[in-house]
Amino acid sequence: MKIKNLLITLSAGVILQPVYAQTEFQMVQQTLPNPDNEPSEVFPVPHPRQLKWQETEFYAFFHYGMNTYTGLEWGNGDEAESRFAPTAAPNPRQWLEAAKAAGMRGGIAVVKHHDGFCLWPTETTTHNCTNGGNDFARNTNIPRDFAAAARELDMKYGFYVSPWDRNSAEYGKDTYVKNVFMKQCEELAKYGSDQFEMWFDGANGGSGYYGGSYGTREIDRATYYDVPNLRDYVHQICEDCVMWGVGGEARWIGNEEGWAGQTNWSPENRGIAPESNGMYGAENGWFWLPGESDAKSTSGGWFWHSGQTYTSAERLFQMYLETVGRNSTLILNIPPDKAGVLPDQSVQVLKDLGTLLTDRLGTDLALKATASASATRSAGQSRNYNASNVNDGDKDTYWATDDFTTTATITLTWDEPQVVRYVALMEHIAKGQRVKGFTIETSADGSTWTRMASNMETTTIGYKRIIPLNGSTSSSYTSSGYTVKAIRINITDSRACPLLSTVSVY
Amino acid sequence: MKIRNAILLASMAFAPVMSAAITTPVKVTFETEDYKSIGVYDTWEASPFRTGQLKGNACVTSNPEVCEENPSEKVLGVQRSRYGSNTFGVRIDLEEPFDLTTDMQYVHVLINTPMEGRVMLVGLGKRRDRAEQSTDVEQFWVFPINSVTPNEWTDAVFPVNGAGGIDIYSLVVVPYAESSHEMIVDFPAYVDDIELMTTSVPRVGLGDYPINFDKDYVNTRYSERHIRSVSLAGETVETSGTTLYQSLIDKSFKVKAGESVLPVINYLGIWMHGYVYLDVDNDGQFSYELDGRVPADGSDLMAYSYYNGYNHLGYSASNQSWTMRNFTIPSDLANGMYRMRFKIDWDSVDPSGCIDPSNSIINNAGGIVDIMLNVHGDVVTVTQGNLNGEVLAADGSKLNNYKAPFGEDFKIKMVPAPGFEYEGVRVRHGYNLDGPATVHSNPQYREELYTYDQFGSDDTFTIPGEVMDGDVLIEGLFVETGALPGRVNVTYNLKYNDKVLDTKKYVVSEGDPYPAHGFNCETSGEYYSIENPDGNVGDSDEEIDLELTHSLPFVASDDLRTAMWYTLTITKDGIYLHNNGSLSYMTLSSSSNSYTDEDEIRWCFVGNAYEGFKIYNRKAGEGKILSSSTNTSANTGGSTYVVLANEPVAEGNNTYWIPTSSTFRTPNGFCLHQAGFSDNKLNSRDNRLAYWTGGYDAGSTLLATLSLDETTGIDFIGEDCEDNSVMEYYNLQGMRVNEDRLIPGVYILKTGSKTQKILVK
Repeated sequence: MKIKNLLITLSAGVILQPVYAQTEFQMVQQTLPNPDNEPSEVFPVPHPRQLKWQETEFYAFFHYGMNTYTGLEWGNGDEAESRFAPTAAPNPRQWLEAAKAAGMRGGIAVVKHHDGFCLWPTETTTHNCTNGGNDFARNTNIPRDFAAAARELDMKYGFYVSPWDRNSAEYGKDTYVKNVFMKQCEELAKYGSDQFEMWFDGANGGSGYYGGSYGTREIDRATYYDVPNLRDYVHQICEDCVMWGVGGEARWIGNEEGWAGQTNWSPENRGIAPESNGMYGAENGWFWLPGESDAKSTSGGWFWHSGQTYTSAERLFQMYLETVGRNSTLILNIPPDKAGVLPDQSVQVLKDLGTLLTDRLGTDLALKATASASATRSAGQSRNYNASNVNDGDKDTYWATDDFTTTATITLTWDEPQVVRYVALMEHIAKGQRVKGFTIETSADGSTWTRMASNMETTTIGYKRIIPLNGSTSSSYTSSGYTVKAIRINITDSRACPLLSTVSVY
Repeated sequence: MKIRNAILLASMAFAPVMSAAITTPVKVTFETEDYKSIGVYDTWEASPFRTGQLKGNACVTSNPEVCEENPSEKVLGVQRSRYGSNTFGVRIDLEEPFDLTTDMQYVHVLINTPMEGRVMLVGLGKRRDRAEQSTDVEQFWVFPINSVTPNEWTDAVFPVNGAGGIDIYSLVVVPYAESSHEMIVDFPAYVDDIELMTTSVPRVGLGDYPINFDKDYVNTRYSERHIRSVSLAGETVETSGTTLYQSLIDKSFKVKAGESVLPVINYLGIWMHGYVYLDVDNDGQFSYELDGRVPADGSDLMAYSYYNGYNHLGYSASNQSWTMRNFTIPSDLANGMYRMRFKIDWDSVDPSGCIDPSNSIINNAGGIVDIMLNVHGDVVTVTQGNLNGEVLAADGSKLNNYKAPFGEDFKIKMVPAPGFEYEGVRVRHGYNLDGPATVHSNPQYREELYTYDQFGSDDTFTIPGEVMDGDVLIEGLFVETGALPGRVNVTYNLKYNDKVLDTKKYVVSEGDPYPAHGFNCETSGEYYSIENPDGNVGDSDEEIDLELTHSLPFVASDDLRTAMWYTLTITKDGIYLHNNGSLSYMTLSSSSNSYTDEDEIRWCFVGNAYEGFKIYNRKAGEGKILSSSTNTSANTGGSTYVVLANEPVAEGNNTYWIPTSSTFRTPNGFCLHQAGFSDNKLNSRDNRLAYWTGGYDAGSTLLATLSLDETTGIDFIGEDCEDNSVMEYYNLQGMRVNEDRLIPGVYILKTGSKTQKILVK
């Protein structure tokens, strides 16, 4: 930041000495009481709905629809409604039960893909399940059943609705957004004001059926869907619904392989940065746009395919470390089959994953450690910023340093040696993302320190950063682990005073 | 109108863009109450300015800097509070809303702020068809297309558009769109003259990298004085056109930080001086401070041939020359794109050009050339981000900040997800790839599109080295299988007499014309034909045999048993090629009588026009062919002679000969050269068969005369026949006889205009 040609008096809440004549602009003194000595925000900061969304961390993606029965990944939009013929009543509850067993906290159900076939009784088109091929189809209402199941299971839920509609004759015209797309979003919003995310695919424009005219229709994705007003309307109904992707409140991580950059900023230059920057974000991004990683758990594609193979739980655990463990959320795709249920193999893999997560990241050893810090912010009237806040089990408390102190060390010590393998750090991101660099060291005796995971880019933290102490995400869990009596986290660089809400050790 | 009718020294960044007509004029001057209300706004919902904890300070006030750029009396002032977010600004509620159209429009705002940083414009409004909707819904958030200079009135140009059917009721000008967490004091900022326009050209201000004349000014003395080219570090870029100012910012010189480089201006003219500038701090201006005789530390003035008697190294210099000495790229210069300026002028370090009427850059027909400088390292970072597939390095490495050599070809491989294929890749290359495409009108990166038909059948593609000129972001364009015109493998087999000579494979799109076969022969085109398939490629792979046919000045054979034997004469004198039995050379005999056995002067061609021909002698028989070293000593003199060598010939010697047409000894004259060595043409030297690399003439021209048809046993005797086209056989009674009814005996053979007696054995 450069300040040029400015007369200043260096104290808080100052008035600039006027340098102009009497009709000149008059500065006024403004002070904002800060009884708790809270640090200033480092902008941009997340909206409360984005914070809640981020806390979902790990959730499921269910690609189910016409493509399940045609074997395609992108239907052309000219599939006969009768082809949607589940062999049993689709069972979203079964989907979510399996997801929950994996440790997922929610799910997104695809209710309209690019083929335009809607899985609810929409008024916007006849190309929907009520005209399906059998009674199972005609009685399907995925949004209704999915939302109900999620509430029963205490899980979050949301819907994927493709902006691109290869079936609609109106796609590409002025009337599509107003008469079809927005109305579809409105209908879906009414399935529950507690939706946590609406997913808007970035694939837009191209060839399609388009009501029989076929051909190719291209649109300007930046303006065609009138996203600002779409967001406004959905938020009137679903206050906490994050509009993903094209919706502009969370960004695509930039790949579908299940990894985020080790350096991953939630701020991004929305409107300017290309999608391929999604893995990294931008330190000086003007808008809070956290990343979500979408990945598949099966081999055939996003939809179910006969003969598909299943990604191992160990590989999924690696994805978890490289997404949730790198300031991203992870939406893992598990496609239901023609019977409208998750195949047994998927169910088993999810269960195994859940076991891995519980075994490896389920017991936080930091909770019984003693935390100390090299620097601590002065307490306020009703809150403090002590080191002990990082392992008090309360996500709303945090450790902080004084303003302009951008480096410090947090140390956890145990009376008895602990076998450790992972360290997880969480910034208090409500006030922005700050940390730019850190290192982790362990000590078996409390005095000799060893740098861990030195091969990793220990740069950003954000909402959560999980560091396997052996520096490997693919083989992070070793039977021996590391026997330590102390762990210290050295914050080596930060945009402003660092704020850590949680330090976990597993 | 309070804005002066400025001669817009428009930055070249603003290729003036004109949109459709404005439907709702918007102009807020603050001279009168031409607005509905003013206040502050913050997009941060928890802002104390939205919760009511603080009241913003904004009002109309007197202009703090009355100047040519903004002579108005009244402006809008706002206290940029440290308690506001990075999107806190002054809010102007318009008297009438304006239509946010799908076409781009430009909101121009004069801004004067003391702080260096981004500025932003936020639009508040609603959809026209939603009566119940608040007019405070944020509709756009845009940065200007130009930079705002601190402490100056700058006309910030904000591009705005939307989905249509939207009205903008309020504008929020954010004078400091950076995080306020380091602000310890508030500061005032000023806004004036808000106007909605169809043009992107700033209304005032010199813009980036100004010059002291109209950028479109045509050099009236071009024919005698102009900059031809500029060079740096051994690279040269030429100018084009006749304007005094040349913008070559689509081109760049490539250097490394700390490198010593020599700038050269190739100037047509006399008595001028050369200057070079480099915007090292990328602030859109060329500073040119001096410290005595040399550029000051931190100055953008890098080199000059002459100023006030000295060059940039501080040495006395001639005032007649624009030749400059080396300068050093600052060693701490970060990798990136920087604006350079080369200037021809008279004794003036002003980067905008001398304006002294007695020696102005215009009158002296100097010149200014702007070009980019790419400061790079040894490696660049390659990253990919894709839907429905992955782009890998050709060796399978993931492209996640992958380090590749700068400036070298880089091979990638496409890996579509199941159910998908690819239509190509989009490659963004340069610097600051996640930011705006231009900074201070300097291109930061470019984008290339490579389509699938440029990829190999193994799904790889080599990104050219010139594209690896900075960091690289690759977007794979994956589409569902079947979306693209089918890619079909087309295989061509070149065949001759049922033998496959060569094969070529192509990957083309279904429905495209068949690709050109690509079988290139050294043999002259008139001597052979390979017919390309007609029509368009179908929807499945094809393998097609293409026949090689001949129309040679001789008939080639597949082997000696079916050979047509010819006498070969060379040079304009028609000297015979004679196998004299020597191991050192072939004799060229002046008459056919110098042989003892007719087979000594009989030669045949075995092979085809694609691979070439072996040349046998009937006397020498099978196993010996005309050959010599390909490392000929020729032109004049020399000692390389052609001999009959044992097959297979020694390494470094030729096996095959290629016939090419000659304009001498027409109509059937031809030359022969060693296959693969088109310069090594047969010629006569010292009555021996040798070479001449000087081209071809009658001395290198041969004629082949049929002497014996092995297939028919017809022995051709008599005079040379120069027309071997149609052959007619007559018995001695003058009756025409069909060739397939020839019985041993004497006949008259008529070929074209020549007639000769032949003996059929």
